[in-house]
Amino acid sequence: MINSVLVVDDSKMSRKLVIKSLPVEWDSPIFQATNGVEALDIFHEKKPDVMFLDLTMPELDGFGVLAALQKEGNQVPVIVISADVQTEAYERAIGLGARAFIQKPMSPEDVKKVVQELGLL
Amino acid sequence: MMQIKEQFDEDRRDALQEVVNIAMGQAGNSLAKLFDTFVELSIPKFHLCDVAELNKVLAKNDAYSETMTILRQPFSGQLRGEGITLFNNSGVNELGGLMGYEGEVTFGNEREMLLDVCSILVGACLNGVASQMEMAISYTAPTIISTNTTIEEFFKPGSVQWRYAMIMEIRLTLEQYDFTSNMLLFLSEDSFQPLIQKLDQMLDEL
Repeated sequence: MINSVLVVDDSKMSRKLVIKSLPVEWDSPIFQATNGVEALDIFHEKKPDVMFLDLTMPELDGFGVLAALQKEGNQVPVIVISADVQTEAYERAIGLGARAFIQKPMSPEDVKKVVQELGLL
Repeated sequence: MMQIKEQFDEDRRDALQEVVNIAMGQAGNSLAKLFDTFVELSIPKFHLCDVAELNKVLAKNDAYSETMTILRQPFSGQLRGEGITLFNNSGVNELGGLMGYEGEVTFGNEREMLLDVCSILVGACLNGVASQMEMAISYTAPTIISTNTTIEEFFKPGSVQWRYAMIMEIRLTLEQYDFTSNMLLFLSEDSFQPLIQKLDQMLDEL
């Protein structure tokens, strides 16, 4: 059961699109962060059940967030949503513990598919 | 100018920046495949200014402190403007190795490589913008404008044909190499309204 969600992206439009794509079954609070530092702060304070994470962001990028979470031993599923579509970006993100990688531009169907595949519904 | 700046409010700027960010990801991926190495992407910077201020705006970026090779690739269609690609000259010297040339890189080889890389970057980036915004854009072949210049010299007053410049500043850096490419996408004034309409459509769909 998903009790809260954290959406991290420096773009407001992108955050809105992710939020709009979340399953209707998740009637839960949605927290938002605009950079990696904010994301970690909110993550520790609110303890969300799932995180949607952009990679290219100011202050601390998505790789930095993943590395910090991995170091802490966090098991919360992180779904990366990124415009960085290089194979190496995917491999690095998965290597740092991301559970899935969605390429931008994304569609609501992409989010639904990954959420289902990860058994989060 | 104030009126134009007001038209690009926070939401429209954010949307445009995200569109360019996605397009830049595709350009970065093309470059990564070409050079077989990881490309670090920057966050695109948006500037809207009078061309007389251009020098001042760009001079704030440390990336332009050294001499550079500059290429220009015009585009037209529903969006009109030009892509200016700037390579740091120390990075240009690494191009031969990056592209697998063996032996000495001749002047002709170097020009060819620069034109290829420019075309790949600008093409991938503009295709990314055009496809997201469902706009048709066509390109003219790139040309080398200067092989040894600075940003101050290049953008001296009177050097750019438009009165206003909308610039998306994009930086791609190759990990483990001294190679940086900065791309400036200039849009002409007559592209502003069609662009705003498309951005509003995207925002309305959210």
